[in-house]
Amino acid sequence: MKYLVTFISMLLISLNSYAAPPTFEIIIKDHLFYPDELVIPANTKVRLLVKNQDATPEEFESYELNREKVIPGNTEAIIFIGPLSPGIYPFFGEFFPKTAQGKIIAEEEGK
Amino acid sequence: MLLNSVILVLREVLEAAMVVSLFMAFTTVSQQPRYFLLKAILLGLVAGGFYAYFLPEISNWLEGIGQEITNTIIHIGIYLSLTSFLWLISSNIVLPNRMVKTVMMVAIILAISRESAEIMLYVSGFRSDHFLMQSVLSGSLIGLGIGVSCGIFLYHLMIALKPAAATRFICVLVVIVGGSMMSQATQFLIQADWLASTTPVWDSSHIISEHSLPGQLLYALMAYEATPAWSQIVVYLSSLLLMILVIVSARFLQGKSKI
Repeated sequence: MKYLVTFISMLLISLNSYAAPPTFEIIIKDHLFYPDELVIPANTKVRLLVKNQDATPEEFESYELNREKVIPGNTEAIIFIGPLSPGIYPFFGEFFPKTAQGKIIAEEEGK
Repeated sequence: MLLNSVILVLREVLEAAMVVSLFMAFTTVSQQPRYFLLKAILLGLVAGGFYAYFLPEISNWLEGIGQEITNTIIHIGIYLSLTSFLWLISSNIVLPNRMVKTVMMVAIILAISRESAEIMLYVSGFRSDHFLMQSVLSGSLIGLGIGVSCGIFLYHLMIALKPAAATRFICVLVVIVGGSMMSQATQFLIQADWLASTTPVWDSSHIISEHSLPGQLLYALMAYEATPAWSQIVVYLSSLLLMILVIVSARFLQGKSKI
């Protein structure tokens, strides 16, 4: 029992000290992404915070990133991406694909 | 806007249309009424309405990954009902057995709820813009029409076969759809960061791009990914294997009980 408690508390401590992935913000306004080019570190897990400031819903979608998430109007969403190898990963808003286009650029640090 | 609506709605409808037409064909082959399937379609639409309406709250669950987890549960739910369906019919428990009806209904309700929620959200986004709404509505109707036609085509393809062959064909397609559901569920768990994201095992986007029509069709049929993760491949193959094992063992037990 004592070992179990120690084990669980160690597990909790280790989970707690586990570094939270860096957050990057993308805003959807007038069916456009701001910024439409987002540079993130390569080989690192990243938390995207997508804020939809339009009244209309939008779906964040990317075939290259294998991500899809509906973001209702005036709400925000969290999408985890990566670790990505260096490169360019386009994404788009499936509901307004003509205007809502952007790309994630994964770059190795120090470049 | 029109073309975009057609593609968006078609993509969503295709998957649900496939499940519905498989089961429609199964009822025809079993010479049973299919009123309960219509009921399931309607219930699915109602569930989809609720899902769309509460999506802002659902998305906030679990620190912002409520949508991914709900979608995962829906996909696993479809997989489990399809697996139970395979178990039942391979054990020679056929319509009008209530269990068979129930698992068929659950699969349809779940499949339609997720797909229709997305369409409802999409269309509702244009409610304040009457000009765009017109083309969005006509586009959506065309998309729906094409999707339903594909379902009807598949239905007639299946019922043209001899009953035994049709049932076998239905089972094969159920297995394919089941694998696709689990692959999508895995994708949502990776997106929610509940499963580790790994570098893609391969990149076949230069052969079949997910942007292309064949890529989209393959996605609807079997959740094609040009850049799949290890976990997705493992889950996909094990889910297919599990379904096949279920069919084989149900048949084996059935054969044993006859002796």
